[in-house]
Amino acid sequence: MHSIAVVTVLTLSLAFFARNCWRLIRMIRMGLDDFSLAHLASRIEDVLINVMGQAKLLRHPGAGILHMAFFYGFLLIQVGLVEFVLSGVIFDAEGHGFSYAWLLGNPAESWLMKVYWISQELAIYGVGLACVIAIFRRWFLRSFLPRLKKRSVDAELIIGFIAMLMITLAGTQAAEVVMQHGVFAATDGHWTWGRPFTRLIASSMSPEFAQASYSFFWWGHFVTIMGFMNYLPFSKHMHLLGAVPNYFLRPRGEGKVLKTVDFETSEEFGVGRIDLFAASDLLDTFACAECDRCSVVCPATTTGKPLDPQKIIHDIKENLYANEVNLLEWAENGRQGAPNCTVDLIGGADSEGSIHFDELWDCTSCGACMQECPVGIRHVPKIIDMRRHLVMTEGNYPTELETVFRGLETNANPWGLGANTRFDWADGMDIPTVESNPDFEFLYYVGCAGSFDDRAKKVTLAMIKLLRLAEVNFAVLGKGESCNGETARRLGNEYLFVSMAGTLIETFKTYGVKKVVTTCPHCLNTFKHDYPGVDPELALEVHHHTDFLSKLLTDGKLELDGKKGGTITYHDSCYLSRYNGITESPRSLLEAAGADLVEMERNKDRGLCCGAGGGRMWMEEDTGSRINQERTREAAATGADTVAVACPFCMTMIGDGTRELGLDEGLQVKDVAELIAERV
Amino acid sequence: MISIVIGVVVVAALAFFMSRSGSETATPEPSEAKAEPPVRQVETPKAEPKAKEALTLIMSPKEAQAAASDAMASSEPTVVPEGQTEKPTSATELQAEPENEPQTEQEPQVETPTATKAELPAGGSAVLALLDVSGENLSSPNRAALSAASQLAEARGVPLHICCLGADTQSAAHAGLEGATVHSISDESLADGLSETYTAAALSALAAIPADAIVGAASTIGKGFLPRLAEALGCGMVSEILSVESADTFTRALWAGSTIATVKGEGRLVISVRATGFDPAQTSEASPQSISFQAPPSKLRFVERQVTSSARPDLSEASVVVSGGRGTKGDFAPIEELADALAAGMGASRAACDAGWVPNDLQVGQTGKVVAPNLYFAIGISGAIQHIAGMKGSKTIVAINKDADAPIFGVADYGLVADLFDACPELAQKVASQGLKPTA
Repeated sequence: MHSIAVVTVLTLSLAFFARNCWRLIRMIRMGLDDFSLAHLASRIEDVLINVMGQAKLLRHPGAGILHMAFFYGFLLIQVGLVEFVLSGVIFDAEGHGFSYAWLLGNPAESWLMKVYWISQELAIYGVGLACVIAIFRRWFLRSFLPRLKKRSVDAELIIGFIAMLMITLAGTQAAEVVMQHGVFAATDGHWTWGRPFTRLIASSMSPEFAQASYSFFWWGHFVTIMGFMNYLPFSKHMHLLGAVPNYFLRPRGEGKVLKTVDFETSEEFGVGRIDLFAASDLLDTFACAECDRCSVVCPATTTGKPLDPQKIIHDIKENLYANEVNLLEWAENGRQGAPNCTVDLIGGADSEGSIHFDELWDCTSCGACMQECPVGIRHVPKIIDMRRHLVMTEGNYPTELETVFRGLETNANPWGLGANTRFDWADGMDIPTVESNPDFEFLYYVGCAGSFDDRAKKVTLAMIKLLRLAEVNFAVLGKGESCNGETARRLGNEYLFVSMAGTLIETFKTYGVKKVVTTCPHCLNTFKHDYPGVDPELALEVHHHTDFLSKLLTDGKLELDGKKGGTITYHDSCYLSRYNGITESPRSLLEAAGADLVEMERNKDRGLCCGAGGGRMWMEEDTGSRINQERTREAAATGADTVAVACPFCMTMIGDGTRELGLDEGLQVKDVAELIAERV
Repeated sequence: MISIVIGVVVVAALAFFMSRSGSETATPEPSEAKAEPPVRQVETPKAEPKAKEALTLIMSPKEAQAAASDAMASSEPTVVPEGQTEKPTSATELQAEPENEPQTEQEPQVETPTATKAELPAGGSAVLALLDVSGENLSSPNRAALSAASQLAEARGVPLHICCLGADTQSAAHAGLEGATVHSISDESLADGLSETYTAAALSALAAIPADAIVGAASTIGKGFLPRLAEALGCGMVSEILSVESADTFTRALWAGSTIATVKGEGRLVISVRATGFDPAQTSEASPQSISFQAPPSKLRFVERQVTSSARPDLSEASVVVSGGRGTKGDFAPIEELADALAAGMGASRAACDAGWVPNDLQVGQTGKVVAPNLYFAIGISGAIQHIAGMKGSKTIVAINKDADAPIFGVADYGLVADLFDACPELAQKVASQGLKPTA
């Protein structure tokens, strides 16, 4: 009778769960199929590091260790769960339920059984303790923990579920000990140290109580498991289902490499409707645990702008569900034409949509969200995909960008300054160009800022001074240089990017450019991560100037005067630290220049963006507070007299920040190259 | 237990995805597998590091017509009614189009163009200058167009005819040029500035004055109706010429002026003239002959005209602009005083707008307004690239700044190292007392 009841409940629960999982899979498949098993080793590595190793979670040790306890406890308890369910179905002659001891032998003798017992004891009471800490954090530490400020009933319910599971499981096992159930009878008095907590609880139970409550505990545990399992697909706990497939199936490149667009066959560009997302992007949204790690590091969210990366992910998922019926019908009819989506993905001033137009333009593409996300969600590429739709399919973008696009199209620089004046910075300096020095080893790609912006030109000159001193065989493209299209790409104008990249790649090929040095992290990243998508055969070796100078210094090609520098704090540029992992070279250079290095609160791959990335450099910032001022205040708080930067955009933003806040008297902003050039 | 279930589900899902991508050949390849990303080589002059200084293009009439259609597509789109863009716009159609003609996408029948061509005004050996006029005086773009037209008539050795189009053509009375005949088409319907009406009026003018070169100013109205005229006549168009090289050869700017193309036109031509390319013609008194014109019924209806009125000229249209920056420290009084003395538009740098000293719509720069006045004053503005991007097109730039090293002096034609609080009032006073107020 008991067995039939258990099997019935189990079957119904699993059937319902399977149905809901199938629904998720069907919804994910509404996107464009981009799943692949290429680079299998790196996929497995991704799963091992991020799921088994919990790498991203451990970036915050407190919450990380807590999660690890839940995670490993969960895995261990699964082993016990099989025994538990079978103990309700299979019984021995005395009416005692199944135990692994039937297979492994008496724990007093079997080592495997001892290990199993210890693991279960650790899991139950470890997770139990973690629940207590989690509850404490949520109730008492809420106001101190930024991520927990926003109350989540879902999260509280989940902790409640887990706590309930542990209480009922501990109760079941303690009752079994008291009742001398099955295997416990066999071991009583012989091998008890493996289950100290269970024995402790058992010792406080009277035989009558144990007898009366055993069924209550057992069924309580069983029903809670079945309930929890079926709650998963409707809650943030869905990340249990989504995280592993997401890490395994996501396109390589961790969101740093954007998709290419097929201009020959596509009829609409970018993502303006839910079915135009890649399936991997939709899978992403099911992996989200709504932990808010992305929101609390987002420069836009934290300065009070409409964008919230977690909300973007959530809204994509909501839009998918909102259009579920029509999408399924469309898919059944062989995906003819476009599905009739009743809820728009992107809305604006005069239309409703899951995501508002403004949110998409707030993104600085700094990648902090992706850096923190424990389940490997790629927020930025989705935002860029939607920008592509706005720019290329709708032609609907902030008016300021008109000037930028026209400038890039006509004069190959975002300011639209005369292309013929690009090389004016070198007037009267006899700078080697690819024509005057065709046998150059390194191409110094000066970039638009370095060529046109008066402040950045000084960095260019400092760099030239250092290259000459170190006797590097270099050349510049001079008037033939053109923008690489980074800004156009991040702003969603992929078509413009592809044409600009094509132009520059042609130039590179004409002069046989193989190695490039650049003073701009955006240029660096574009050559490194974007150009292979445009021309896979273009094998460029790209160096950022901080890396390059650092190498020159260690190789003894540059010698510094060894004088003491001031107190310097270094502002990490996103496209160096997060996108390209360059954090040490600039710091070692500054130390070599005799600086007392002081760190800002947020530094290296946790650094706060200056606010100029993702094309924000060219846009007005009229909602919330200013990102650049936020960062400048943080820099000023270190007490440094100089902020060192390694990017022309950061230079502009932090420089403006010091002037806007009236700090420009005491706080200089200088490029690392300039600080080195002062010391040679 | 759950993990086993999840495992099964994950494996099933994987198997499913794999089978799907394997079996359906029509599905897009996974992104990593894309061996050749779609690279579209767009040829621009920068593809060749050594940009050629000039390009010579010879257009056949067919190409020229295609160019005219292009120009038409890029002209103000507001006047193109839905559905009509697909149809060839000919004079007869414009006039005879019934109100509720079904808008089918069918190709027009072969007879139709032939029939309409027959009714089109024939060409003749004359140059016709079409001027869109209003008010007492001829505008400078119109005067530039007149210069171009008279140069062309001279180069071709043919008579020049001038026809003023507008609701108010009183200026035709002094649109005379030596050896030229002046006409006018005056009709209320032209007050609305609809390209369609202007095209019909131009065709009426051509019916009276057979000409095979039609010249007009590349003004807002001209940019709208001249390409339509070319299309209606089935002839070529050369837009926004900068000079007349010979009877059939002109120059025009490409790629925002970075390249000058020499263009040769064959056959009948419609030509629009960029005002900066020519000196305004000095005209004399004339007695214009009136040409009758009946405005055809149109699907387009003029709805309303919204004119923002301000005491100061609009920033993007003013011929003089005075801008202030961080150097004002929030006190814009000296800037306003100078702007008023010069009857100039007032602008500001981003820093001044951000600080809330002046409204945001005064911002001149990359993210604000892009201005190109004849005279630009940058006062207390250091000259960050963001600002320069918005005013670099100004003809003459004057900078006033305390800091002699300010980058603004690098782009200024005239620089004054002075305290703006001393310099501005003095300058304003001199302008006022000596009657130096510049004219537009």
